[in-house]
Amino acid sequence: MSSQPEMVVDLAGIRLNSPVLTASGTCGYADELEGLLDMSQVGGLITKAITLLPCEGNLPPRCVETDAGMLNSIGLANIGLDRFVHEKLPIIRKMGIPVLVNVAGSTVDQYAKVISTLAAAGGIAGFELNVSCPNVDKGGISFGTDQGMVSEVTAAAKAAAGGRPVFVKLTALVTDIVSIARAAVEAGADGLSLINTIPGMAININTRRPVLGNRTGGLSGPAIRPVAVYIVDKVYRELARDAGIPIIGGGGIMDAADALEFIIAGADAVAVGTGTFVDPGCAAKVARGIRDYCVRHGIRRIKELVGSLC
Amino acid sequence: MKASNARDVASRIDIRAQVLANRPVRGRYWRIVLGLPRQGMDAFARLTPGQFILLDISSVGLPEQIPPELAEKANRHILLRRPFSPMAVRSTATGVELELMYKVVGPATVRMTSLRPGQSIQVLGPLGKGFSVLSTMKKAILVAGGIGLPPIYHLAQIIRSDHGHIMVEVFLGIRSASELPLDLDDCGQVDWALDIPVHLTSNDGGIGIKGLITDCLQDWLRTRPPQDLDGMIIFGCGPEPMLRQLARIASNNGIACQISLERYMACGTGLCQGCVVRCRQAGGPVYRLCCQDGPVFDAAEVLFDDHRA
Repeated sequence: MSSQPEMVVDLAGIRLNSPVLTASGTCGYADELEGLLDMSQVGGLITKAITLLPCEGNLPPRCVETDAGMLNSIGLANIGLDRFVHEKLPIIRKMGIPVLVNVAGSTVDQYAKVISTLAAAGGIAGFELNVSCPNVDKGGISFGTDQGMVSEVTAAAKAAAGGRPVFVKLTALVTDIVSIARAAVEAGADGLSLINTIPGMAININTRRPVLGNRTGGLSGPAIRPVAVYIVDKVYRELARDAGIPIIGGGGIMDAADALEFIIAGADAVAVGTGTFVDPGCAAKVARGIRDYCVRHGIRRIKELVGSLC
Repeated sequence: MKASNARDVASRIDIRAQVLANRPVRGRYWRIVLGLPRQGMDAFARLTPGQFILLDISSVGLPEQIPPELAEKANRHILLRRPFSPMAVRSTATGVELELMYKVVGPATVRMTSLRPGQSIQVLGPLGKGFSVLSTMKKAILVAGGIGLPPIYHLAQIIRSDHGHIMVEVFLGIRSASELPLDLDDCGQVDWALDIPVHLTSNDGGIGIKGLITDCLQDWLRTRPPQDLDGMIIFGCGPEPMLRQLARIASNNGIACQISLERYMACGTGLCQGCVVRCRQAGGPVYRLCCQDGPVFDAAEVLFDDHRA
């Protein structure tokens, strides 16, 4: 009998029992998947974006299936910081699994305020800065495509985080992803989350109107996976490997083979997003599949696979 | 009317179901019967009319025969699960049977026609909040438009079996005789099999009364003595313009009304926040989730114009 492979991941100081996370915006406030997802298989959860004030989100329709993917324009709908702290944090504290909170805002101060409040409240493993949402007018992708803004938001977040790790989630829709990633790292980011949805649009040819109420949305699902793997590979080779910065890779992961592409490209952990919509147990299935792969290939520690691209 | 969320969440299950039967009814309407094993019994036997399930059709193949008008569309890749409100739930010795009615309109429903008895399919449910039947109700007006029929059909059975004191009247609107989702009896009448009066309209007058079902309902209501409206409730499911009109009729006549809405949804479990419905609330309009707060809403609560002022 061969011993079980070591699946534990140290993600910038956060101990994950498995390299598989659930991506922001696809697992609610963390407790909604109870009973449908085997949490013992999952490394951690990343909540939907929390903003300082409650946000009702964009006009419907907010989502539509496209070939091998879907478009969404939820617009960061969430209950806001206060309600999150009072209603959701007590549940999260009892979950016994690391939970990262995705944070969004339209000003740098808003990011800092949300983070400092959550850091003080406790019960959170770390933060993921959303500077890449394609569905809001202010903040979001307009920050994530500007090196100066990425740097400013990251530094402010880091200062507010009370020592907790800060991951910066980036968009692929930039000319030079490495320079944006470098701006985040130099401003103190503990890790990078790659990638957010890619801006997209669908048109109803009968009405000649956009399908989504917000005209445009973010594309997710298998359709974006090759783009995401490309970005992870590039950022890993040109920045993260030498800087010792962990990457959470994600984009269209539906099964273990998809996730392994990201890990081999250089991701320490992966985030399952749209896959959870299709199968609420997807993240656990991916984690089991990664373990099986390790057994089959004689991999003793998942760490051996990270960035093992030949 | 508020359902206990905790209980709903605890009772949903993602499980493999066996296809027991799958047959065309008429036109583009099909019926499929799914058998849930014992593990699914507790959850699905409690499915109330208007609640829904999600079917994973992503690995279902194309049938040999594809309606020509859907030939191009049919090749599209299916990613997300598809929501269906069952038309019947039956407990058997070995488990639970769910009967669904579906209309072949796109790549997912085309694929469903290829399912044969013995094959299996992944089912997540029961999801959402269904119709709420109260003992104070005296007369239930059930209004269905086209493929909105299944949860209404299910509701009719439940009222008949569990609420015998409630009088039931059914209004069914369809486009044309070829789009009738039900069988006809020997006399050419709709075979409802529940001994319930059915008012039928079609857009082209090919069967039933020519016109809209909401007009038919309005005409019928006018002939009622005022005391008849006491304890009356309208339950509706169908195209949104029909539901909007139903809400108006109910409001104008002071009749309670529950409607089942449809929205694009990615997850069906409240994760994605995609399926919002604009609703009235004391502090101002709010978005509610079709998958969790609905799909059945109090008609008075729904704001049908989805754009903000």
